[in-house]
Amino acid sequence: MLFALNPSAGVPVYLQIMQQVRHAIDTGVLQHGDVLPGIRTLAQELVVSHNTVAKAYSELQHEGLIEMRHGSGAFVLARHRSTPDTETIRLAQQRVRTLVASLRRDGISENAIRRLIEAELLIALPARSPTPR
Amino acid sequence: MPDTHVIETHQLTKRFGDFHAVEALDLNVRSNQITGFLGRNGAGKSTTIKMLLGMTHPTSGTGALLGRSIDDPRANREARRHVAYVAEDKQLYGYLTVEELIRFTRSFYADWRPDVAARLLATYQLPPQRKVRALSKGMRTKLALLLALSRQPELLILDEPSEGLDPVGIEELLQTLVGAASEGTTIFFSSHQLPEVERIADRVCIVDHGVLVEDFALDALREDYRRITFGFAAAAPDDELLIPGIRRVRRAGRQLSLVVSGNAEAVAARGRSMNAVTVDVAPISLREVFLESVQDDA
Amino acid sequence: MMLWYKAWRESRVRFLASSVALAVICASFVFLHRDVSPGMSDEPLTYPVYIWHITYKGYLRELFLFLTIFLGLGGLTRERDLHTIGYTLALPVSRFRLLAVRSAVGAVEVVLLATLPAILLPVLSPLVGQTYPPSQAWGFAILWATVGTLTYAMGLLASVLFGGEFTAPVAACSGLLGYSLLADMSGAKRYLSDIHDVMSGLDMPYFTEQTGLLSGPLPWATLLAVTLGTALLVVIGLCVTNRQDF
Repeated sequence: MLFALNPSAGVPVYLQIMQQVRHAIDTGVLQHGDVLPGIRTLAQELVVSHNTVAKAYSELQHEGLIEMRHGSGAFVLARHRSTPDTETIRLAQQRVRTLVASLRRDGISENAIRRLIEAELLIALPARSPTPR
Repeated sequence: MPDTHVIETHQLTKRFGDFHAVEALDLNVRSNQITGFLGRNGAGKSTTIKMLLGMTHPTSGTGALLGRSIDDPRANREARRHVAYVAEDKQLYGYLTVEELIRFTRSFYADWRPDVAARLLATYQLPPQRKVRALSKGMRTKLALLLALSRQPELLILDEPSEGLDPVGIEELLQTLVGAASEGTTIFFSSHQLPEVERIADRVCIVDHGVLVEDFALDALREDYRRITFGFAAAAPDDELLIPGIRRVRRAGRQLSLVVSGNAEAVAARGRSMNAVTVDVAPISLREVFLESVQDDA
Repeated sequence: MMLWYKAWRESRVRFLASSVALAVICASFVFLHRDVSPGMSDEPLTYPVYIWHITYKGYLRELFLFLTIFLGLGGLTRERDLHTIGYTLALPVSRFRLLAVRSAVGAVEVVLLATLPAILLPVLSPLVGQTYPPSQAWGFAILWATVGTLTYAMGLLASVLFGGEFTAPVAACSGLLGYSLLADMSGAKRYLSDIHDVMSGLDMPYFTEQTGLLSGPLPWATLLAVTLGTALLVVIGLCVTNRQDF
């Protein structure tokens, strides 16, 4: 993986490394199982202190993005992918809660709400089926 | 790994007649780090290093190298077994060949690693039969590094190591230092090449006129140090801005330029409360901090 | 110990050049004696007297003394000028050891130079139909070796005290000259011997000028005093070195 580091940017270099690794994982440039160089190797390649690389790797491991292996660098864990789903579901949950609460306030019964939502999903269904290209 | 101090000085002073080369220096260099030692020419960097190595006798004050007092020649000698030094001029015995000098150096150190020496000899492409006086400065630097690193010293002290090297040579030097540091050698080096120091150092100490004026981690520089510029429509306020974190204040017309080592939000807020019409907060480079630290006449 | 090797390498050229110079001049004195000898005095000189005049009292003596001072040069002060001092003093060895080893190597070299004439004169003289007794040559060798190490120590001390390529030898030679002048002053004659005369035997009870031969027991007391003087100079050099700032 290639890094673009700026030692004078007002951001600690270890954070810059972390940000760039995170971004690479998010965009798929780094994928599950990809190997990152060992601390010493990367430090020499980037010409930065090994403490900087060690801190970046340690924090990334703490966040569950990579896993360090003794002597053979680090492996990317793309478990990161699942997190957006959980987050999205959680936010969707809140929106549904708000909508149901407001419909109830307007006097619509629970059965009516259920029928309205199902009807909406049935209408939307054909649009969601995969169309061959 | 316990954080010990590889170098400690307490009120270390060296005067040459009226000239105060080093004045009441309290230096602390931690192990397992790369520490940059900055200062203008004549600020006392070389003198400090020479006192640590027993080459120069302090006028007063004390110091310890790898925990051993520098005032005791025997203790200092014992410490030097684990310290490697690359001097400013990197001059080595011109009348010996590369191979002879390696054999000479090897005889003094029990922890010599011939496999590392052989590898470095090949990597640096040093001709073993050539006399040292016939080597270019770049090759002499590499030879000096080879002699230092074939021992796996606890501490590597370098005085202006990139002096006389071309950009490729400097890059190779930095890679070597980073590599050595990652294998456990603590690095303490003085340099005028601020961008290079900014890249590889974990910590920086700045001396000016023999006195320590700054001692900070580079990550602190990046995270906390800021240059804050206030612009005022009326005259810039005269009163002292007594907020913790302000290191330097400069006035220019209706503007105030501050260097803060922390508390940037509080300082910015204070500026607004003093009716600053423009408040600009920006990161500050090592070069700027250095110039600010040494420009004032102490 | 590699320090011995370093001291040898640093003095090697001077030592070999000095040896060659002394050897060549010595040999030329022998081979040219028929041409040179008559011009030296009105009456014909016997071979031993000729040799004594030209070697032990003459030019060779001055050259030898100068070369011993020359051998004393170098050391840490010189390394400071050459900028290798950082490397040397960072080595885990004491300054005492550095100077002691250098002194020892130099002293051995001086002794070897002093014995050169002792080897050459008896060996070469028969080639021109003359003889020179080895016992004489060795006697002078002892005198020369002893005094030579003193002048060597002067050069050594000068090299410790003064930097620069020329200051040290000039200082040492001046010191030597000063001592000779002092010793020649009539009042001092009772206490100090001019070391030049110790070397040549001039006006000394152990030497007869008529025959040009050593005739009595060597002045062991004087030689001991000279050796103590040498030791003193070296000790001063060590003390100064330990206190110096590089």
